[in-house]
Amino acid sequence: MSKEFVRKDGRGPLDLRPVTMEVGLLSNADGSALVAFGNTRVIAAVFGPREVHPKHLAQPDRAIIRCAYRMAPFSTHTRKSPAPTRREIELSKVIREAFESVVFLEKYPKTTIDVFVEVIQADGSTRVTGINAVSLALADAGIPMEDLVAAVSVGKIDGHLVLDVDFYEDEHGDADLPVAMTGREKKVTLLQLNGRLTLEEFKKAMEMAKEACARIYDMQKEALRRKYVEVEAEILGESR
Amino acid sequence: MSTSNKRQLVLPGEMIASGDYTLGKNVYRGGDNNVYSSILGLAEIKGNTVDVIPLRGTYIPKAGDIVIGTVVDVVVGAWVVKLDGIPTALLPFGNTPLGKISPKINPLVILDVGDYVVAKVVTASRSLNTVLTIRGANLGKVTHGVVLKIEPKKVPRFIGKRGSLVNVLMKELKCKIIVGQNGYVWVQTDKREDIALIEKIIRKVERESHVSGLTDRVIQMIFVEKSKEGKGEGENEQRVREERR
Repeated sequence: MSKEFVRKDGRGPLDLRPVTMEVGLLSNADGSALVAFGNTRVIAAVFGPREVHPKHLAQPDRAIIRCAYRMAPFSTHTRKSPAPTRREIELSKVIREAFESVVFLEKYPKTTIDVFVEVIQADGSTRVTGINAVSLALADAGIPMEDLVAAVSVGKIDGHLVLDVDFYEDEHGDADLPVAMTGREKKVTLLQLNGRLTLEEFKKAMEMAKEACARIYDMQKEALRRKYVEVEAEILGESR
Repeated sequence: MSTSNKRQLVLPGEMIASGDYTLGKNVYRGGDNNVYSSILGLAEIKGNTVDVIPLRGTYIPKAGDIVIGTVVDVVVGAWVVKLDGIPTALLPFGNTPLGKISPKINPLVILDVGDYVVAKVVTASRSLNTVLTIRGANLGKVTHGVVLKIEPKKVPRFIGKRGSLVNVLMKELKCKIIVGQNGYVWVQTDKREDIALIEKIIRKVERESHVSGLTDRVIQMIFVEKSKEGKGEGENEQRVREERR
């Protein structure tokens, strides 16, 4: 695996696409975030903790998380039917599970935390981008959790392991490995694999994911702080 | 051990302190024995206790809190009051100034569905079962004025230290303000421009609460806005500042 491998869009194997993160863009949600990795753009909105309807879903000792991952009909290059697909239902479930182990659910019994993941533009790696956005939205909503979750996908193209696969690489590549882990302790909360990797390749891919998640984690922290730092700078600037 | 006086902005999972500290609110101890924040907020180390003051989030009832809720239903022996976010609270018929209500009386005559009510939390539990009372001074149905919303976690900022902010507001606008810990503010005035001013102050508090010196900035804002109305209140501001000291 040579370092010189150049991908279709000119990136090296360890390069992420340009990342932007914006927190608190939806005024009606308790917490929200938009995360973009290249052309993949995902908005996450968090509501709650709030009362559960229908009531029978409520747990007496803890909060529940309900997650809906959805791709906008205009997000793909051929129109996607707005009806929920098998894939969307599955991704809703895995994204929810990526956070159930991190959020302190026992603090809000009998309530629900509703998470909406809306893919505005899909260009590969939407589930990990979604997880990055949900992580920010949960923190923005003031929901107590152990740590932020950072996620990235590792792919295999022509025998080369690469980070952050886009749609083309996903279509034509040999494998796709989305990974989500907590920022500090690197505890894995989501791990899926499409395709085949040898054990050696898998180990290397996990190492790459770990390193990339550390980078993404730093960007997440910066994005969460930005709003507060800006207001502070503005006030201090005024009083001077 | 280090003690920092300046409150620091922390995020979930960020280390605040390492060593033998007592865990306060919104913190947890990691496997490595360090103290981490579980929430977005301002970290505070007071003596030996580590706390994080949240900047966002829902209201959690505490016994003794004054809250403003909406009556949504009547069940056997109690009104059901919505406090926003958390499961609904109960206001038993017995907890009214009238004492027991005769079964012949329709409880909706006293408090109707849709009424705002100022109530006090009698019991609050970890399982979020909340019981309210309207027996006591300043409690009961909201009869006039307007009810404004504020982010629940910003309520202490809006009130100020020992009521410093809200008291100045009441004095200068000559109106009564009751603040519900769950994020509602009952303003008892008919003056539209005063309501607009309070609304503006609430937004300012929500935006700037993490920067120190908030109360002073807001008080200054009150006088700037008031003097725009044509009354020269320059000396007034001086007076209030001195009173606060």
